Amino acid sequence: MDQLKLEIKEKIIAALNLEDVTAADIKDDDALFGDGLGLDSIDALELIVMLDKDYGIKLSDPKEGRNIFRSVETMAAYIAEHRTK
Amino acid sequence: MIYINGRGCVSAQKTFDGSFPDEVIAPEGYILPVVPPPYKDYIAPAMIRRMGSGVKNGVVASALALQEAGSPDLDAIITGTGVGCIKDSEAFLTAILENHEEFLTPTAFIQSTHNTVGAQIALGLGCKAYNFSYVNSAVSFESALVDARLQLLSEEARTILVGGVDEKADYTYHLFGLAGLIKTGEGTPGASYSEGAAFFVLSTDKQEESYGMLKDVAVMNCLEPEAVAPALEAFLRRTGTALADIDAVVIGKNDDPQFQEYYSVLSGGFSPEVPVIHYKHLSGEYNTASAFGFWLAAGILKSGYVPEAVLLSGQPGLSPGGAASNAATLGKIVSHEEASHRAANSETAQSGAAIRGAAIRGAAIRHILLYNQYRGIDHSFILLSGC
Amino acid sequence: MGIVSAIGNTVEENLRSLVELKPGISRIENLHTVHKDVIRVGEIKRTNKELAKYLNLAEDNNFTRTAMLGVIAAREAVENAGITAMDPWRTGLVSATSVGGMDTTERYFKEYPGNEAVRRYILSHDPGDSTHKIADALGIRGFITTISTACSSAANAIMLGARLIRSGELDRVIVGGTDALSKFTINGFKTLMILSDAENTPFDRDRKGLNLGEAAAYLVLEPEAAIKAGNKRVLAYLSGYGNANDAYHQTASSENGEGATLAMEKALQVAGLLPGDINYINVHGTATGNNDLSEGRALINIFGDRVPPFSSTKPFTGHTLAAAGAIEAVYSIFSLQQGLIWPNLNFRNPMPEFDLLPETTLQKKEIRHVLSNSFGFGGNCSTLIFTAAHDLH
Repeated sequence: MDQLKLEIKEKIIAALNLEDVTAADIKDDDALFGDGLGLDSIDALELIVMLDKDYGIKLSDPKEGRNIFRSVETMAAYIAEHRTK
Repeated sequence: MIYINGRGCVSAQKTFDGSFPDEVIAPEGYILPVVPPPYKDYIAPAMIRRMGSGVKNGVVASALALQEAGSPDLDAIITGTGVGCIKDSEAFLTAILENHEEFLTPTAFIQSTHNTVGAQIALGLGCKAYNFSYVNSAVSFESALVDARLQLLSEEARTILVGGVDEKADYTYHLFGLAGLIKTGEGTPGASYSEGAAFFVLSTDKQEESYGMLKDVAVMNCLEPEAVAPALEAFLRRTGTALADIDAVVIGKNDDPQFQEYYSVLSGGFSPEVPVIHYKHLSGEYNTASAFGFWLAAGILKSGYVPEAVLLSGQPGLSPGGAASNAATLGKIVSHEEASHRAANSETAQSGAAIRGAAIRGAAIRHILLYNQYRGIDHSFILLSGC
Repeated sequence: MGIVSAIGNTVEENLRSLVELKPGISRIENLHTVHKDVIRVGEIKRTNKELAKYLNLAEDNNFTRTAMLGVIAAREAVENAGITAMDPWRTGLVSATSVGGMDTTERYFKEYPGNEAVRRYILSHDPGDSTHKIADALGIRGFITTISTACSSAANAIMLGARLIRSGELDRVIVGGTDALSKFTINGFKTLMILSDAENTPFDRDRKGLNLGEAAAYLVLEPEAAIKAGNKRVLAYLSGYGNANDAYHQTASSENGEGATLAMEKALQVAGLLPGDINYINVHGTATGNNDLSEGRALINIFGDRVPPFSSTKPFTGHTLAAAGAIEAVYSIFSLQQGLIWPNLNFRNPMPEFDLLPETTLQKKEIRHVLSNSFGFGGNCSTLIFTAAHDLH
């Protein structure tokens, strides 16, 4: 699980071009949106594609992402349960 | 009256910190890189991470212009961009074709929209005013000027941010080479290309530091070389200016062997001592390179100096007491690497000041005419006058 | 005026389809995309070959679909205005497009280096290319320019045209926009997850997003003096215009519709009208969750509890991006001429956030002033107001 979390952090940094952030800067339970890492709705769409491309998880409604992308913790849990690759 | 109250420029020269024209970077190759300004001083990290180079350069150039003008409230933001955010456009299209329309992410698509620069400037400033983007090749910037001028003259607007910006993209520029736009070797057709951004604050309010006035601007989709002189005559008549009143001519001449007749016809109409000024050998060609020319002309109008590096021909009269011998010295020419290195260390603002002799002082430069065309189409005249 | 869209190749055909309530939303045929069985589009059912033949283009032409549609609509506009020569009037052209020649670029992009025969299309990618081709086809020499502010582009082209006329800069301006369907925009909107797999349903609770469309439309603007001198038939007046920026988000509209509210306020002010003077609103109404909510709130900001009859005509044509403002200008003028309000097709359930109900049937009514909205990426919000021809005399 820790490995997956680290992987997710690195993918987030790369996909969203978070230049000055390192994986160590993101805590597992940090909020990704709003006051935390400050991600927005466009980032959510980027993350949806990441789920699809890297883990074979398809979300058809962006609203589903809200709970999944709350933190790295929630993302890892969701991916671990639903991944098809 | 329309005053130019601020200007900002990011280009292949060190225009962003005022080192140019005292310090000139000798162009190398046929695609000139821009000298990058310290972007992070101007753009918040949360915004910069998605921005393409055109957006970043546009935001910095507009910030410089606004700073000079004393951060006025804006009634409009009007941008010209020939190719728009071509890098993101190219990235998104490449992803579509390579991934067979799968696993695409929205960022490049969003950023590829032609009005992204104007929109991001507005977003950064929280400016809810009128916001237009013109995308008509070499008259994109001039179209923005036409719009701004109409709104300022009709008093719909008091202060407008107006600019031109274009960016390069590797594959697209490769295609431009194939299509004969960009020079690919010595003697081949096409011009040396680059990218850049220049923004200006135009206002009906005169400031102490105003550069000069925008008197008029005209745009024409096509002209034959023999029609240039009559078109200029008509343009000047409209502005109530005589040909003899023009103290300097700024032309958009590039290093493409084709389409040069337009400029020789135009400058041939002036007496030989009138200085003819060129800039694309230093800025490179791009659709809104003429905004670099406008930036240069505004500086000349204010300082009264015609920098040696941009003087193509003509013998400007010297200012009373001016020393002709000093005037002829060349500006300091440095390589791009050296300039970029020093820009990154941002210790350059003063370095140029010591070599100010690198310019020719004109007797009185009151009226400057700008003329540009690109490959025989999209012609424009601009008339600037001193305050 | 002149128009080509998914519901007709001419002004007459478009009017007939509106009156007969015949939408033009279908499966895509002229463009190869992996999404063809999922998406629905407002496609013009004429192939590039047919269009080129119709325009008598040479075999080695480098016209994009965008340019061909533009020439067809602009020609009709000029012919309908009874113009036989551009001189002696100082005539300009202001055209709008979102992605220019992308329809062709995406076909040959990878092929260009290896295939010299298709390289002539490299230069027709430029957004100004279609404008130049239209100007050449019409014989316009002088001021031409192109506007690209995403989905509000054509409304903005009309606005600049009005300014050029009002200031006396030009005697006549042909204004409008053209956009062809492309894989680029289809996939772009798909990544934003705002493409609907069913017919679009503006202002409906269960709206799922937009259907993209392609179209071109142009109008001929002339000042009062030229009209009097030439004894011409006036179709309508452009009485108000306004543009403002939401400055909220690169793609989404603000929740309170601030930019849209400002644009409508400015347009009313320019027209010297009060909100109560507006008889019909042709809303932007793209059927995305975000647009309709934001636009609805903006309508309430301006009109309070007296929002005039309104509808989106995008269920007829799809969202034609940079052309939309011109398409809807033509439909607004139809409204003034015919005294008809176009129904907002596909509407079933009201949105829970407010009690705004679009018109769902074709209605006959005296209409003097129509307000038309167009909003685009980058927070770009534009409003035009058209007034019946008989109403300014």
